Amino acid sequence: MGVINLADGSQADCERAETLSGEKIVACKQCGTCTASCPNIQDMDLPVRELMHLVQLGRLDEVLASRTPWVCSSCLQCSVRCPRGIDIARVMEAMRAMQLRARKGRLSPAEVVDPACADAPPILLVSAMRKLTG
Amino acid sequence: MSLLYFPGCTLKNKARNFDASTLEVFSALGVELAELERWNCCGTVFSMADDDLMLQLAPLRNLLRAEQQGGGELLVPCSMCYNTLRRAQRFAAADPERLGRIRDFMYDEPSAYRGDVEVRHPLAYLRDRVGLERVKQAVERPLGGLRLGAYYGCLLLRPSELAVDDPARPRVMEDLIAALGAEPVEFGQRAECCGAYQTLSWRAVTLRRTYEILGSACAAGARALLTSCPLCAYNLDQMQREAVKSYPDLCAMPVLYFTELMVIAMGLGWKPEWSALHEVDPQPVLDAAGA
Ligand code: SF4
Ligand code: SF4
Repeated sequence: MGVINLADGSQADCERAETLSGEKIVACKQCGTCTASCPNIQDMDLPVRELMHLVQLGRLDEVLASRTPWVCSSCLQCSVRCPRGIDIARVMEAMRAMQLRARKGRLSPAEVVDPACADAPPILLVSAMRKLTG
Repeated sequence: MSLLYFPGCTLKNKARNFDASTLEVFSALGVELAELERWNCCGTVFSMADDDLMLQLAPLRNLLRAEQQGGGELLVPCSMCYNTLRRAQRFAAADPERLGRIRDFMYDEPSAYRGDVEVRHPLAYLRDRVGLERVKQAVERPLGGLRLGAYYGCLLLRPSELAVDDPARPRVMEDLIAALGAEPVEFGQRAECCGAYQTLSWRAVTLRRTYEILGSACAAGARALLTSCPLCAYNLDQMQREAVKSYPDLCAMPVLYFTELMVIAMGLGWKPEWSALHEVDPQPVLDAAGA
């Protein structure tokens, strides 16, 4: 396990994630409850607890290169169970927001209006646009 | 009596059966629903980034409209709309500075946003205001002990502050099922995510969630599922056709809105066009009521 180094730029990166998410990420004690609670864990390349640790370490490049924030469906199961009271879903949202604001969306709007989606309910199209397009 | 009602986009489109059955059921129970005038899309998902005030305007403008049209309570059946409206309301109320800026954004409105409308879900309203005993008395065609699973998903229960029931052990939908003469069965996956918008992104997530949720309900003995979310309904019902290709042992079953079940049990008349909005034929549920 890495050491949280408060001296170099890693602290600034962790704070950036804390500001955007509004969550106290350094409070995470690495218990793994979030990973164990996640219904989408099988499709993630970076388990939720490990993502939290990398954010603590300020290693955002690795987090942003992972598909985990995109696989998260904002179900809040981790958030309601975290013993440190961290709303982890908001940390995932902050990671997506960083990508979306850099115009690196997971989906393009053209994919969302694909005819293959013709029978999809409006809440599916709009929520996918809101969450996944930059 | 009359109650303000927010249908949302999907209830006017792919979930017309949810809209129509909600109106019918409430009317039969003596509550006339008055659709909010000039409502707009709620935004579908609550924006969780701390600095995104703009994205809170869509839900909050609806609540302002409700204030302008008499205020009090606003009935919201769609789980996604319910969750988004209530979370935006809490977000705005959390600090006065933020609230002030949100009011400034809506400067062109005839009145300022106050934030005091009570957003209510029909399940809680039926339990707390109408009373499930009264629902029971209105049953004309009891469901013959049909075994049904209540699927809550995420948005009716999380975050805990807006849960329609005890988030650790909800029972409101099970109690409703029992009041309608069917037999509720609890299953492990009743509050686990259906995959939500991943249907358009990591499709494998939704397909597996569909398979696992249906499997869990099936193992508990359920013959059909109830929901209050049109996205859950899409993922659990419409996606069955595709999921069975990846999971040949998928347990197929119909998925109904809880208000559709009430229409059946209260003898209010199932509309044939509602059947076309279902992928898996709900006929076995109708048969159980002799409807
Ligand atoms: S559940 Fe909370 S404290 Fe435990 S690893 Fe996850 S974020 Fe950290
Ligand atoms: S909110 Fe995201 S990370 Fe947390 S349990 Fe749900 S899918 Fe997993």
